[in-house]
Amino acid sequence: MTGFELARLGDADLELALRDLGRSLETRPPRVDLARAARLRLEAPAARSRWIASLGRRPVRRAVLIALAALLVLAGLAAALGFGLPGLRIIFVGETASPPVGSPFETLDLGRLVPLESLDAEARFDVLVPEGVGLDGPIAAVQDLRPGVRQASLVYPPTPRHPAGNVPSVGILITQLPGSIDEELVVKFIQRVTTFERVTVDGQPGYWIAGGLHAIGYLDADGEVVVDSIRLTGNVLAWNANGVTYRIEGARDLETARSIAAALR
Amino acid sequence: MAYEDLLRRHQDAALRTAALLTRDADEAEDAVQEAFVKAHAALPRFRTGSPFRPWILRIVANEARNRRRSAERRAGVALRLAEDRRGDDAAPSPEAAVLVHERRAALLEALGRLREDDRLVLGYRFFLDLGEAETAEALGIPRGTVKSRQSRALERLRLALGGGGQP
Repeated sequence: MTGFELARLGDADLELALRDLGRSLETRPPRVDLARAARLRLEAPAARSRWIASLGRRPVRRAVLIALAALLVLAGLAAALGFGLPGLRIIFVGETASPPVGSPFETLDLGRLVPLESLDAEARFDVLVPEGVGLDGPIAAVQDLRPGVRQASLVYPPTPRHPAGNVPSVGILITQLPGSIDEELVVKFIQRVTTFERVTVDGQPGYWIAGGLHAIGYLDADGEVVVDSIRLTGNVLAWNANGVTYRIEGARDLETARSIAAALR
Repeated sequence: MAYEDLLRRHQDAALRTAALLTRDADEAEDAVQEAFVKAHAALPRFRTGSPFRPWILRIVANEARNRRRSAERRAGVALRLAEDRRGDDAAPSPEAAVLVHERRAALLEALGRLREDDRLVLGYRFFLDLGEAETAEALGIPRGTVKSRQSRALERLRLALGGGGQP
């Protein structure tokens, strides 16, 4: 029966056809249990106040507050709605803020700059550096995320292979944070993604996320949350290996990100 | 009944409603989750003894409308035709199945060309099987208006089916 034939049906028959259509329609199974997600979000204020209390024990950065203000899902939600990989969980939330296009380097808020040669000592763990993939001359930085928890960052200038994103002076950003995959949970907060893919990096579980990723939060064994902004709007490869959470931001595609990950020494 | 259980009971209808308006699966899910949270805050305004389904669907529809612009830019598909999985004697012949599929696809395509108020009234009445009273409640209109709105929506659906341009 064509559209023209359907158009000639009387009300009763057209209604029957619509009822038949309704029975034949399906929606994509939701990514999360929506009812449970709503309930957990409603329970979030108590946990959020714990976050705010914990922030009082360390310097509060604007980027952190922006991200924090947007985060409605907390530890309980992470446990309930994560995508199930140990140590790395991803959650979808509402609007979050991100650095605008053209942001100066300082907005990356990576902590204090340190010589590359002393990065391991400053970070207090072995920081891996990519070799042989055309990434040279990084700026190294160390940031105290929480007492006793330091994140190391490597910032590479843009090249034709790794063009700048929203921060003109940055092509690739690699961050590394020590933490046991068994003791810590990593939560990524995503506003809207165009691509979300489970991947493995050197046999370890991870995620490839393209587009609209703005904030990340780490949960440690005590349930304390370290909120951090995704600096470069765009693609992120994140994975956990050997007790360290790695993320590569700004790679133009998964293959490029994988090649950088494979070159970490 | 716990709030979560109550929501779960209406989750599918909420998703269909949001999908009708956003036409994007991601946006539909986000709208439903957000609406469920907002509905909790609005519970004091829920009239005891009233049916819950149209009340929650109205909140879902409002949230979905607020999100539809960004969703339409992506032009995604939120409602799709399921495969006919009947394997018994009731299963249609392959030829009949093709015709049925074509008819449903034509209807779905035409429905997608209607404005959202029309999609919603037809969706409530014939996809979710809401009665006139529930439809009125969900749309926030007087009960007596449902029939006329449904009738106009059917007429515009015919125009859309007939290829008569923008209905």
